[in-house]
Amino acid sequence: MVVEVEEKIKAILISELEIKPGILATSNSSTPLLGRGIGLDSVETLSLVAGIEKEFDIQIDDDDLKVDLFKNIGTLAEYVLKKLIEKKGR
Amino acid sequence: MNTIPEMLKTVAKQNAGRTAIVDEGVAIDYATLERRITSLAAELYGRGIRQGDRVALLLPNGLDFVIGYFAIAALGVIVVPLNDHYQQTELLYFLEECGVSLVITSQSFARLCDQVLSMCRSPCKLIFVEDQTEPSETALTSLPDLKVEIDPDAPVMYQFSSGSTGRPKRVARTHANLLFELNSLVQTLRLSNEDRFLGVAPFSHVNGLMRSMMASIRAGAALYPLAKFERQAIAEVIENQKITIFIAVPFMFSMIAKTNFRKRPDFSSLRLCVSASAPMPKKLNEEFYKKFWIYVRQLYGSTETGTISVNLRSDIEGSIESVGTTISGVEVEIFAEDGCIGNVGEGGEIAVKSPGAIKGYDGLDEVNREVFRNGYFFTGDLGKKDQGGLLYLIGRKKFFINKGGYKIDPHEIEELLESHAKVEEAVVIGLPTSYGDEKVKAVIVLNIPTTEEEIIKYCQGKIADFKIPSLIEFRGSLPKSPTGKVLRKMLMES
Repeated sequence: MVVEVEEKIKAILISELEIKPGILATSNSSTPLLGRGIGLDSVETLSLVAGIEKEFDIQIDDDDLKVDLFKNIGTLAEYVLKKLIEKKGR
Repeated sequence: MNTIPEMLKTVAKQNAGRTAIVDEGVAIDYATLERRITSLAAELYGRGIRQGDRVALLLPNGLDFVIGYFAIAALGVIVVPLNDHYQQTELLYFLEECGVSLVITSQSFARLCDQVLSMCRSPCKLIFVEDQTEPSETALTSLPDLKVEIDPDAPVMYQFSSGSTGRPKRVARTHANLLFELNSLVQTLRLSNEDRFLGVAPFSHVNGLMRSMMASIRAGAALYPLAKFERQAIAEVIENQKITIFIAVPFMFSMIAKTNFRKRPDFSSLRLCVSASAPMPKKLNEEFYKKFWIYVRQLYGSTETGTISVNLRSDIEGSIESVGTTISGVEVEIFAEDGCIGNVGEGGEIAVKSPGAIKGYDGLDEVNREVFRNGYFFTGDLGKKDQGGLLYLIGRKKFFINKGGYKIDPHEIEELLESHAKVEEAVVIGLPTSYGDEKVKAVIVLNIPTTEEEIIKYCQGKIADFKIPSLIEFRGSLPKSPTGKVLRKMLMES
């Protein structure tokens, strides 16, 4: 399940943030989203969050928007998965 | 009232018991605000700061920023507001360019400031807001009389403008410039002390500073500053505090419109949403309207002139992309390529005459001759006017990149990239995103092979993260005109 979420996040990175598919092809769960890695900055992380909320129909709390959340694709995917499980349980 | 300190004094007297600022749920009234400003001004004076000195503010939006700004101005000292995302190279440049002798900042910037100050050629000290305590009544009554005679035409603030050549240019706006703009904003936007402003656009930038922070104080209104752009926090403040004025940039409105709120927030208290710093795409404006039932009004201004125009038309649907008509006291003309004033509907460079505008950049005679002519400031923006006098922005002559509302001078990044030993030549361009802003792309010619990773690492810590290129392309050569000028447009289209 988490792999599917990761793939969808990668698709958002390509469609919404125009990240080169080549960069993502060589990325994995532990590829950092910020700085070296995917190279997102503080403005782009907000665009990614908006894209994720739309794609998964979830709400991401501002309080959760910490550097740790964007540590890598895996941490973000796990967070999204947790939100999806919470949504299902409601 | 002829100066910013006089304005504060008058407003504070007229609105003494009214709420001035609500920061993180704590409200203070105008009388208290004025007392705290006086107390900090006295401390600055005690530390040897005198009229004409330059003091920088490196703080996020908040009460401390407001107190710092007015305390500096109270002494006839020049305020240098700095973006709190800036890194080493940028801070060093701005501190040295302005001859700053003291920085008011917070402990969270202590390490960065220490690094920068150790590199400064002239001495510069720090004051931390955490070390400031609320003054007691006794302490306040024993403050020395700080009455300073201030010339209304003396500079009160240094800001920086992205330019077509070289480094950012210093813009010195005077007390008279700012007061003209603030009075005109109050009149045009019908601001009053009943208004409640959301202060989310950065106060370090002309938009957040003049149209949120200063306009709110000028009107005797209540200001609700937010240190960070947080979507739920913004929605909560607007709904719970019944905010009436929301000034931001297109990217912020776009993010709010795209947010998947658990419960759609009630924005019915808003009477005015104003976007500035970049054109707001029609599609994004309609998206915002569909969710919150209010259109975002476009305002046009520049660091050099302050506010130029705003679209307050009642039939907004028909002119949604216009930046409206000039605010009271400002004139705009469109100059065609032949240097003559163009006809209605004809595109050309926008030139502005305004008592809020500076008369020139300090020490840049050549640039001044080019952009300050016949009483006009030539903005470098391209526009046209329709039959009804509505102004439309259609492009720009000078290159800069709008990233999430931050204006980035590509030359600044190019200069940094070209200081890398393996880079022969670099050109930085902006590519449009679906959020109404642009992403930063660097096209680089190398003299020794290297990787994107190495280039990004080299930029980190030297410039703000939003300036670091998101896309890097290595090329064997850059497209150039016969005269050797890089064809940026070709790179943007390719």
